[in-house]
Amino acid sequence: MTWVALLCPECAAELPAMPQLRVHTCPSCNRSWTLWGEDGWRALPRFAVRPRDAHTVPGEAWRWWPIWEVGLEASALSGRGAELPPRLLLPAIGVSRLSLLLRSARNLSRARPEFETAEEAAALGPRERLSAEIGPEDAYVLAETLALRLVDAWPTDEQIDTIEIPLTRARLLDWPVVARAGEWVDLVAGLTLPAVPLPPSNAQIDGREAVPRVR
Amino acid sequence: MRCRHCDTAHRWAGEEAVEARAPAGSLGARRARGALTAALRELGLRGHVVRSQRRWWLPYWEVRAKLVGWQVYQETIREPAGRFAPGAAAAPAESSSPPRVRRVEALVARDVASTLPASDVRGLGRIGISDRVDAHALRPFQPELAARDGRVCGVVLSRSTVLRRLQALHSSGLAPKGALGVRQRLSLIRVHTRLLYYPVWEIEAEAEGSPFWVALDGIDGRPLHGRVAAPVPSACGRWLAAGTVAGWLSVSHPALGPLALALWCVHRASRGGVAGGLPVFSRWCSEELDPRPRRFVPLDGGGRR
Repeated sequence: MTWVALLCPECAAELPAMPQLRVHTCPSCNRSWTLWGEDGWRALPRFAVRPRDAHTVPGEAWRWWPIWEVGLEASALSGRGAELPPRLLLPAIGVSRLSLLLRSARNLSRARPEFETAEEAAALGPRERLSAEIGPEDAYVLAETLALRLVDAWPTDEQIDTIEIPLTRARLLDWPVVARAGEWVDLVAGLTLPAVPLPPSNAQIDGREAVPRVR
Repeated sequence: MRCRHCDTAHRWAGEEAVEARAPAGSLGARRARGALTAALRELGLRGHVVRSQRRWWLPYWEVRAKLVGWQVYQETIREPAGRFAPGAAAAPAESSSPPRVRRVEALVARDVASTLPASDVRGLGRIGISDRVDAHALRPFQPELAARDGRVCGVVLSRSTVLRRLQALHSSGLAPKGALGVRQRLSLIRVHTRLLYYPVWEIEAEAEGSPFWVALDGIDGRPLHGRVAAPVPSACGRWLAAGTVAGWLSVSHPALGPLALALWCVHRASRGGVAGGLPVFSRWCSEELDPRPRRFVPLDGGGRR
């Protein structure tokens, strides 16, 4: 059994300490970390998605939302299962409102994101990266839940508890999102994302009362 | 959890490595004996001698998670009651066609929280502690310290087994009553598990010559399990009154004598005393007519909490 300090292994800044977080993003160096067994922190690479010009407004402050991308080998499925998209995109925030999250995931999975290189992402300037409430294991479960009802009349009721969904790798994406009129709008497909309470921003992570103390 | 020296927040690492906690402020040996004395006094037992006592730390899994997935089932549609216009000749006849069913597909997203025993604790009488845990402050459990003045019960139920049981427990009640052909595909996400160690005092004692065993709640001292031979009110007075009335009736109304005898025979037959012969009858007499009979009385009030 191991206690691990909530400090960034890279820059030693304090990581967000909210208990619901599964991926902690350092407010100082913007790296993301997840606990990996008893080995402690493991860096989790994030892949930036390019915002579309059609949805961006010059000078507007946007931030990176965590989105899980889970690959799917649709060709291994029979029937209408072959029509499933090659990747499923799941917001990693807002699991408390699962139906909204799955609806957003269904719409996002139709988007075709274009990825930035590291240099291009850096050229976009410093943006806030949010921590994620969903870890990789839970992302697979939710991707499976989404895949089971993404195509009409597939699978059949008899298959629903037995069918194997051939999911492949999962990776965490940085999805450009902006707050407009009280709603979160993604800058890739122009979709509205679930209005969920966000994890604390960098200015709020010192809320010590949220973490119990040893007595 | 924050370190009290450097004030840095910490988390547990590892899926199988779980945090262990215990309620703060458990009863010491002397207070446990005091609680037993109070419980015995309520039963009318004044004196007892404690032969041995030991504290057990019983492990429980506390699990919080979210149950997600799909369920599909067939639901019977109830036809609305037939309406007919005022002045109609008669109500429409009941339809003889089979009831209609419709397919329902529901997203399941339910927060689940349970406390399940991590070892076989039935012998000590405590089955669940979920109602107690919320009321007490918890502190980190240190098995080395606990083992000095008690026995720490081993964890025999693995985390994965507990998660399977929890999922089965909560999956069964999801479909509405009367649903047909229920098919479910459910999983647990955002699983948070920890071990809770609950103290229980096991005391062997003797009261008025008869030995007994009791398990006491290690926090509030309430008896959880065990029974003791305690005095109960004698039925001697009731039998004396009944005999007097029966004698008076048989003298004033001789026909009632055989009836009273027949009723007594029925009473004895219902208790098995007729077939038991003389030994059973004499034991019944000593139990019923003893001026100070003793019976085994459950210390936990008759039921397990």
